[in-house]
Amino acid sequence: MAENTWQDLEGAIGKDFSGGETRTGADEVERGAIRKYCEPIELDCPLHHDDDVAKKYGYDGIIAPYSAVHQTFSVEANWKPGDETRWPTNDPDQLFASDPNQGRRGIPLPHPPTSSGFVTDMEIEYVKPVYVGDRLTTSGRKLLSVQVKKTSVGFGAFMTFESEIHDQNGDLVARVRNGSYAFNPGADS
Amino acid sequence: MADWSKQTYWEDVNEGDEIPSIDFNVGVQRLVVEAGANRDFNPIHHNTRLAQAQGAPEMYANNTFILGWWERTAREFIGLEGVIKKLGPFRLRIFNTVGETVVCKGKVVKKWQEGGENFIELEMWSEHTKGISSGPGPVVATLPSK
Repeated sequence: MAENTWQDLEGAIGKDFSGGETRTGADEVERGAIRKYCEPIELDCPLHHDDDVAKKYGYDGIIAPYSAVHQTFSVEANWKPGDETRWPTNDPDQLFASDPNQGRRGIPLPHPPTSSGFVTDMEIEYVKPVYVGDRLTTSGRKLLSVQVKKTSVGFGAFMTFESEIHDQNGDLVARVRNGSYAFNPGADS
Repeated sequence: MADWSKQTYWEDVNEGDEIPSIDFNVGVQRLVVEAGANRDFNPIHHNTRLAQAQGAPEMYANNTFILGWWERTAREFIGLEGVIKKLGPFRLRIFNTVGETVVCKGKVVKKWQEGGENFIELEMWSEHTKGISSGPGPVVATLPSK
């Protein structure tokens, strides 16, 4: 089977690569998790820790910080009871061992193999506050744009995807558009 | 520390107004605390060797951390009655590497009323010793009216 080209990826703009699969956050949104999220930012807004203040301003109780919705409260567990160890060696640089249930799911992207990547852009539109007890599910992975480019770190492509986050009632909480750069370090083409 | 008894009203905001900036010191421990809190365990954010193997000069702040800086900076300006509607789009231009002090800044670039709500758009960015690291990009919020 012929290897995919960057042109194949450009031709897939508009396609949903989620394969119809969804991802549900490992836990309900917890009060303690909100507190921990606020610590490194030193965000002391009482809407995130004081129910009385939150209610005074029209909320049902404390709300999650908006910036926490797309990642912190939407990701699945790295390990769960019954799983094999995720750290099978003592290599100091070892990463989570691959787990067929945890890896990238959905439809593979049609582009040449890449070894590295990082997030380049982020846009989140908030529709509804997230409360303690909510359970968030992410759906969709629609490819919005592709820009094939050599950069100072290598050669690859900038891609933008769109997804949606819903709560346990099916209500839309946020729309997320995130960009990333998939590349091969040091490559020229 | 923010004074949450103060409230910004839509009528008091003018296009061109600068909002108070906030400094964020990026240390290794803070990156680790952030990773544990936001669940982004990509090693480029806490492992110098692996970050450098991917072309970065050092381990650097993850995107959720940066969003959090923007949220706090915007939140302290819009107050408790303000509502954040949208963060971004913003581009991560250069790495917010460990050892930097990242300053989050912004200014009001637009204000309008729509559907009974009072909107403002902030243009926000983060900068450190190497220049603007992320943004400028928009943060859209609503404010109360007097």
